[in-house]
Amino acid sequence: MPVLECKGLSKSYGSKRALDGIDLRVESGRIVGLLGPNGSGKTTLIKLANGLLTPTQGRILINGLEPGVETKRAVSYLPERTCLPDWMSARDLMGFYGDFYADFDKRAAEDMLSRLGVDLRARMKSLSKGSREKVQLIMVMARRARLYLLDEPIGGVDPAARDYILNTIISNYNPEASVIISTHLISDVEKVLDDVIFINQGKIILAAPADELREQQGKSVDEIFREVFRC
Amino acid sequence: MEWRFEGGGPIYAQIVAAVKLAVASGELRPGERVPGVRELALEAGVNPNTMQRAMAELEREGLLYSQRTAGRFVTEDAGTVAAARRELAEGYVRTFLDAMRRLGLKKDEIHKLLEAEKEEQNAGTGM
Amino acid sequence: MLGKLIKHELRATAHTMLPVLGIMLLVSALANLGARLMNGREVPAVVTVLFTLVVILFVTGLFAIGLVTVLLMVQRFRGNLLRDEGYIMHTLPVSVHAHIWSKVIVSTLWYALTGVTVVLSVMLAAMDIDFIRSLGKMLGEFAKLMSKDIKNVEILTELLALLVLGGLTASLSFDAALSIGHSFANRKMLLSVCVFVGMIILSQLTTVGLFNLFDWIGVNVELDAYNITGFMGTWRFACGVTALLMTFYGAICYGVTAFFMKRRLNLE
Repeated sequence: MPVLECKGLSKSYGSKRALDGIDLRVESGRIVGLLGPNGSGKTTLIKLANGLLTPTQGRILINGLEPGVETKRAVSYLPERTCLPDWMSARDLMGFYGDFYADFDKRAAEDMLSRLGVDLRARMKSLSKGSREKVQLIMVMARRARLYLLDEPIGGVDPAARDYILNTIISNYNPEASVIISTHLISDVEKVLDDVIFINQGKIILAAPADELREQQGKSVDEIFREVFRC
Repeated sequence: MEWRFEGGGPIYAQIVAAVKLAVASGELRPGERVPGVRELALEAGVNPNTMQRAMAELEREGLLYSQRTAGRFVTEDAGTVAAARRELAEGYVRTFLDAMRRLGLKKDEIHKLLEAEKEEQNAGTGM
Repeated sequence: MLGKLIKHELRATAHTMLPVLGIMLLVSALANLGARLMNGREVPAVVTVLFTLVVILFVTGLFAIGLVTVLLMVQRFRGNLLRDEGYIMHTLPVSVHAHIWSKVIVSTLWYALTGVTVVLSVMLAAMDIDFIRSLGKMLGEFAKLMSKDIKNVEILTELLALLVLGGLTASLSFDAALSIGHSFANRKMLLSVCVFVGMIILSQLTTVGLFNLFDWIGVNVELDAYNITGFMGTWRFACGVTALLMTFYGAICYGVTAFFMKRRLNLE
């Protein structure tokens, strides 16, 4: 059974179509790049998978189930922006995630936080924006989830932070899980991708294994992306 | 090892080539233990699945072998290493000759160039 | 999961609410101190000004603290479920119903504690030996009153139950207005306020309409109830009708909140 499946999935905001009849399967054990320019429908797709939005038409299934309490147990989600309550400390956050998610690995979170050098008692409000982003990623990746949905994890960060983020993703990922990374910064992530999905104006333009694409076209995914989305 | 990836061509194939070069050049010694897939993937910043695929390919070609519990090692078979070295060397020579031919150089001109370069290098290093 | 949500909600709200209630009690104690210090004694002008300010603060606080609590609870619901933090909250493996209940229960608890704080503040401000004596007397009389007739205990219990129900219903109506207002793309807060005003008008009209309807079919609700059953019956009847109306209104608000959070969530 695919970890994520979309069948004729559409989402409209008023008269605007954000997603237009998407069919998609993501199998387990894959790191998938959801690649497209800004406003192409990436975030809408991820929000639908999280049950933050409901489809206008079609279906979206996680482990064969419509988004709900059951699927939320299995999905670990990194939103596009940091939204940790600013009065909480890293220790509070570990308590919070541990309370609500049975798959939260507190040891792993502590390890990563100490390597990052974050004071466990410091409130989020006192940390830099970059540290807050990393703490949130740590909370998300310290879960032993079936599906990780990472919305623009490397948008607007410096190269060192980008390497940190990608390494955190790789080192926490387990072979039974799938990771979906949405981004428009392809060259930064393409080394870690098994599969790529190109999305534009709410439609899927191409979905294929990354190495297959590189082999067939003799180009990097980034170059292929630039050709497909040339203005 | 240092990892650098080019634009085109599958990542796994580039890993295979890089490891082959390391074995052929002796950077990886015969019988040396190779780190685990996850560790290598982190080091190279690539997907563990891709690294796994590259390791499987290298095993298939006989450059690496794995022992159930102990891990993965560089082959101790001198023949295999020599063959890899030869294969890579031939590749470089082919690339070189292609480039020379594209420049319109004849065989004897290429020979002369090589001789001249060799003398210059010898002079440069004082040998 | 409801228990965990409530636990977390209590912690999150306590760090704003406890200081608010604490400051109110502190100001009351200071007002008491000031009143006694200045009672028929010559004090420097600075002290007079200072304690006048404290008294003003005390009086304003007494009237404003209820509003402050309401605003903080509204802010909490909005900030936690309808804005950025909503990304975390709505992806917890928890139903929308558990979210609503946790918010409503904890809000009502803080409304109750605010009420208790107001009573304590008044007592604290007026505290002296005489007051303590008369308080003892009052409590004694209260106990006597309660033990004299079981009906008095019932009336008190029903009154408290109505207050709790009122707190729950009020919370639900704020949450409904907020979740409707925040489903729009822009001006979310302004629209929430408009929706809330609209809801109040609508509920008033419905209540008036309902009683007119009774009148029209020839039933004078209040009088008939009194004639048939006497005081206790009328009280019961009034309580029952109020509770019924509040439950009805609360249930509608609950349904609306749940629907808008499940189907019309519009974070950002």
